[in-house]
Amino acid sequence: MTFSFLMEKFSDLKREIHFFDANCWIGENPFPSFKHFNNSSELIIEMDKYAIEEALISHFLAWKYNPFIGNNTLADEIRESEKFYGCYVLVPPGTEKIGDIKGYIDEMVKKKARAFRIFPLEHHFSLADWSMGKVLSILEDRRIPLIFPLGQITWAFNQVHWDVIYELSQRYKRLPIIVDGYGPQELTQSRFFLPLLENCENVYLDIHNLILYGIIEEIVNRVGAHRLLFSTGMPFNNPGASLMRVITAQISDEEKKQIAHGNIKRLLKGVRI
Amino acid sequence: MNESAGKNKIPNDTTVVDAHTHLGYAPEMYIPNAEVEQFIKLMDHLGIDICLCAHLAAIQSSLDYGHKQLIEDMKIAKGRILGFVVFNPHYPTESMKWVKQCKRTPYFVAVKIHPAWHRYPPNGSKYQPLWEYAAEFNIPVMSHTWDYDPQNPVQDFSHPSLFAEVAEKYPSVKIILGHAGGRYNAHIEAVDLAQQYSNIYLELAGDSFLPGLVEYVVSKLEPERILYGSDMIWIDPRYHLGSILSANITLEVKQKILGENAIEVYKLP
Repeated sequence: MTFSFLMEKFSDLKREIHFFDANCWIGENPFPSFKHFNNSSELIIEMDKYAIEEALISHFLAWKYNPFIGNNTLADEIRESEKFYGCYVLVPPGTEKIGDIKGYIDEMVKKKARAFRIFPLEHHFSLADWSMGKVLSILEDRRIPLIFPLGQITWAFNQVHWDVIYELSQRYKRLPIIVDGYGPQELTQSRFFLPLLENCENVYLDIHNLILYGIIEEIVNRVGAHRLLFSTGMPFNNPGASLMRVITAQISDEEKKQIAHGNIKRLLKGVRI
Repeated sequence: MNESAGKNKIPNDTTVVDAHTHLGYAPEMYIPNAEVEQFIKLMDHLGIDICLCAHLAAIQSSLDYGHKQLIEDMKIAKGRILGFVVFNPHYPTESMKWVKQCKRTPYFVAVKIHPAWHRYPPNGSKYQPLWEYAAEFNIPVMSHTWDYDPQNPVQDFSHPSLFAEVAEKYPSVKIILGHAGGRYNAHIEAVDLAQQYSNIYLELAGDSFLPGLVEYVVSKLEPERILYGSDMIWIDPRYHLGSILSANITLEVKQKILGENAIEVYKLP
């Protein structure tokens, strides 16, 4: 594939493959950046530039201020949109003003929730059953993906507790667990996530930070393309980065489409509404 | 994506130079297909003509072993991979022996320093022999640069601000700030530094793909001082290629960043 081919075809190939972004954010970016998307309209403009057709989005308010308020803000943003599905934030029952947790999850699914995120490190809670058991059981029962940011299991640089992901995946074998690679650590974690992927069928990785040389091809060869999810990580990453990674991956066209949109759509369709 | 790409055909002779790569292994992680043959295959697949490479062993553990391995790899690559000599300030005699190869062989084109890994600042006295040699013989020096990081404090040794004194004292030495500071705050400082000193160049490799970064750097500096790099074999080159190809800058500037500038800066054959 020559450079001139890449330049001329980049635009076309995006549209042929069809991309669904499994991980991006709106709201005022609390991290220093050259860009952010205050609301869904601004995100749509950026998505259109890159021919990204749909997205699973989260709101910074739910992460950095308050899950309840942030979730409601996101729900309002995406209510009328056909392009967006919500990834809302959860905490242990009784630790936020959300009433009965089963009722709350029901309500959010009606408000287009198709995945939930947790931040046990930053929001200070345990993942043990005495704390999050009810939540995780409900998510498993309804096959609602749980997104687990990598930075939430890295207690300090060079101390990684991927064991947490493994234990979760074994306790809740039918719960789709998506590891969000946000943060610098994923680059050096291949000795963790390769065996993990081989042993835990319900663990998936998104790709916006899966930047180790050749690792996507390695994962596809070892466990299959069905375990990888296209994501841009906007506004943390330039969407062109992840797009190029998939477009030029040394895998089959069918595998590219699985990663680009097929896998996330399969997971979201599996949610018991 | 810059839609003008479809309207302005890039000449087939556009040379793409990845100005920041490595060969070898890293103890921190398993790197699949790390052999030079696979490396070249990926270059072919993506249309990358030349990679400028510092061997990881030379940086991290053994100057001799690393440089000798790189020479073997460069022979296999038949001119597609050209070398950075690594200067380790704690082994100045050994290092200078290798630095002098830059004048003797066409394989080595510049020197690489890694103040963070070697835990020593670029403006420290132990680097003086290198700066003086580089000034005398017009040898570019590329350095790892990064932002302050409380979780990884050795990065403090590589902050862009430390290069001000060096750029001032050795104005004839082309100093290429690898990673352009690595993170948002240090990106800003690296750009500010490059605005002050015309012998500072910014290279964009690393794990930072901030939206708007490429456009920001292009808006602040003449495009001749911006270089594409990937940090390949750590980082897959496609992420940075995608960032630059899709940046909202002209085709002409993309061509400069993606290859023309490296050819000029490093005087590549």
